[in-house]
Amino acid sequence: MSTLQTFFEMGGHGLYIWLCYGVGGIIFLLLGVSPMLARRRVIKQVKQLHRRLALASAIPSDVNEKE
Amino acid sequence: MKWTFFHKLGSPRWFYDIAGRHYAWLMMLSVVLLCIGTIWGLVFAPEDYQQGNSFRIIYLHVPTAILAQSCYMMMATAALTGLVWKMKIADMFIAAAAPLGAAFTFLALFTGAVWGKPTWGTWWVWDARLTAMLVLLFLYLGVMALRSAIEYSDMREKSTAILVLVGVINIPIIKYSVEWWNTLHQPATFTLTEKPAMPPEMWVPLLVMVIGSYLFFTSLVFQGVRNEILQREARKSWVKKLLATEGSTSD
Repeated sequence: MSTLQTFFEMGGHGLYIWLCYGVGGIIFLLLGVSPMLARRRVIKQVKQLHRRLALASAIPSDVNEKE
Repeated sequence: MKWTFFHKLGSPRWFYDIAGRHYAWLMMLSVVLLCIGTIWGLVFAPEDYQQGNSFRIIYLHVPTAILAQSCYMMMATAALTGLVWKMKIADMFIAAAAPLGAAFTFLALFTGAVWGKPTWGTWWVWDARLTAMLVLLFLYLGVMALRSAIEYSDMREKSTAILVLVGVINIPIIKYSVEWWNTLHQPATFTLTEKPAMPPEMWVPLLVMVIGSYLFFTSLVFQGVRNEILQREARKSWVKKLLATEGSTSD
């Protein structure tokens, strides 16, 4: 156990090192997850747009003539 | 010389496919390298004879600082390309890269400050290198703010590109600040021309971390640009077909 303890203490610099790697880990994790969440959001938006466009084109042509 | 590659690069659809094929393995490889590098750096690399264990912050500090600067140079290259050749993908790259650059710059500053406390006895000094990095953070945030303040338009593309290009002046200032002025900050760890001043047991894990960070960045940019493409090409028939045939979250 004591070797593990000395490892975490890092010769008195433990607080600084673990603070850095903790914050770094959180930021890397957030960066890694955010594009996947963004993709879901974007796909939802774009599909909504597609539904709206499909609906608009289904309206009889005389209403939609100006396009 | 063949220009087909260049023309293809200008095609969002082509990039969407290529990036979609590669972002996943890039991400996995980067995670593996970052884990190896972190454990190697924290557990197996020897202590520094002057700084003791606090030097282990280098394995996070240097990769993020290198990436913070090279991300900006890539954005500047994209900005110039976008202005000259009107390539849509250039602006999408800037949109995807700016928040990443901001995150890496913040992390470089943060780890630098925490490293500074036991090493220099202070969290922060208004030193040339540190101040220039802070300016870099503001440049990234400025680019993001500018983009969110203007609706999607040619004007937004142009003004973003010009802001990015004006900010390039900051990059050589960061790079040479440790040589031009007296500074607390130590000179560069890695240079292309000289051998590192530390033993291989110390710099090999650092190199692993740098490569892992670049791959991480590449994967994130691929994914970010793909999202931008879907948004901006939403009315194109290929996007309609793509989303009609496939599930909501799959590729």
